[in-house]
Amino acid sequence: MRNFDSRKRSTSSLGWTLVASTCVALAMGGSIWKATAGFRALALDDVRQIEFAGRQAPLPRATLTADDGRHFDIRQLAGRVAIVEFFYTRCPTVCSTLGSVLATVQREYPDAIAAGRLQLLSISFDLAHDDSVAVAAYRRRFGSPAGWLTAIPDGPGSVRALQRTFGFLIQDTGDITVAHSSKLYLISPHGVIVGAFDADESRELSAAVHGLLRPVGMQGV
Amino acid sequence: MLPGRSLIIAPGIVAAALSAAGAFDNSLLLAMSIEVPALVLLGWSLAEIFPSPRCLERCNSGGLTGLLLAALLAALWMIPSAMDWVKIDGAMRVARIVSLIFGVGYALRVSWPLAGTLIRWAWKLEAAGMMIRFGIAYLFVERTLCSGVSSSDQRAAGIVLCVSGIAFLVGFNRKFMSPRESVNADGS
Repeated sequence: MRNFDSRKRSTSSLGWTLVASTCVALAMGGSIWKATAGFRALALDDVRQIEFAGRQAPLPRATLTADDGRHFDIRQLAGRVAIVEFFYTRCPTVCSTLGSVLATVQREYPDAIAAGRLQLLSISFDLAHDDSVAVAAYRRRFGSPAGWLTAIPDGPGSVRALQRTFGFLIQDTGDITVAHSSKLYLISPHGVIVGAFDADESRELSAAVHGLLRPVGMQGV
Repeated sequence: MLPGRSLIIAPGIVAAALSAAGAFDNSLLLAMSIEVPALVLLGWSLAEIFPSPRCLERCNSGGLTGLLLAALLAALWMIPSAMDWVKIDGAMRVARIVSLIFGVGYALRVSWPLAGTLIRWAWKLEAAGMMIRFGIAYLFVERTLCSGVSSSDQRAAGIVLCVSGIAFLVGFNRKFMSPRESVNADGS
């Protein structure tokens, strides 16, 4: 009788273990799958790039102050194609490259910009050093204000909301260089992020912009 | 509490505090060689002070669940994108610290004595393989995988992981390497 009870307990324990192990395997396997975008990438930038291409992410609720002093929510970009970059004016490296790419796009699509169908947006995340005057001066280094807005988030809460959605990092490495992601984010007229592009992918970015602008143009909007 | 145990717990608590403050964010080398081992050892020591409740043991027959959890959690927190998410999201940072202490260190300590030879072998091989796999990835990927980490630091972390993986494999499996001890271990 005692043997029977012991065997029953052992069988029950094995059953619970199999259930628990399966749950652990599914939960942890799912987390690893998500962290690597289905075992396709290791770096966060690449993971987000794959995610944006496959599953479009809506813009977050984040308020910004534009260089003309106007307050707006980034979700107000909906209704037109937009390219968003994150920068800081003291950046000695990649920000200039991203700015040059935006200037190229600005020159490439003057009609869409004039019609208000394409918006460029540069957002500084350096709340301690950058203000509306500094970010406007930064843009003048690359292009005209036509269709190109520079802005600063209204406080750390807005910066965090943008970081969580776009998946970009801001990290002070101890010297003047602040490590941050170097992507240009493409926003569809539906207000969702549909792609993330490196600075050396300007041709792909331009093609994607063209693809998003074309249907709107064909509808005569 | 034994003085030896507090010698392990104290650095573990310091490592947890430093980890919460983001002190290891800019160095994969420090994260892999100091932060992760210290947090795992802290969990291991806590398991010796606070044994697992009986209800949890029911779900951990043969140490299977605990060892599976430890292996998968350790793998998750070696993925660069997961390590970068920690820098963005405070909740993820807490989750990482807590899971390395309890999900890896504590789970390992309470599960190891329950595990049979086969499960222990499988776990050791997987742990060593995981260290070597990530070590190779850190070493040979041309770009930096984590934000704020220099490429030289990434390569150093890769070397540490590869060497640790090989040392782990050789050290823990020396019974297998020595035929006489292997026979004795089998009891034949």
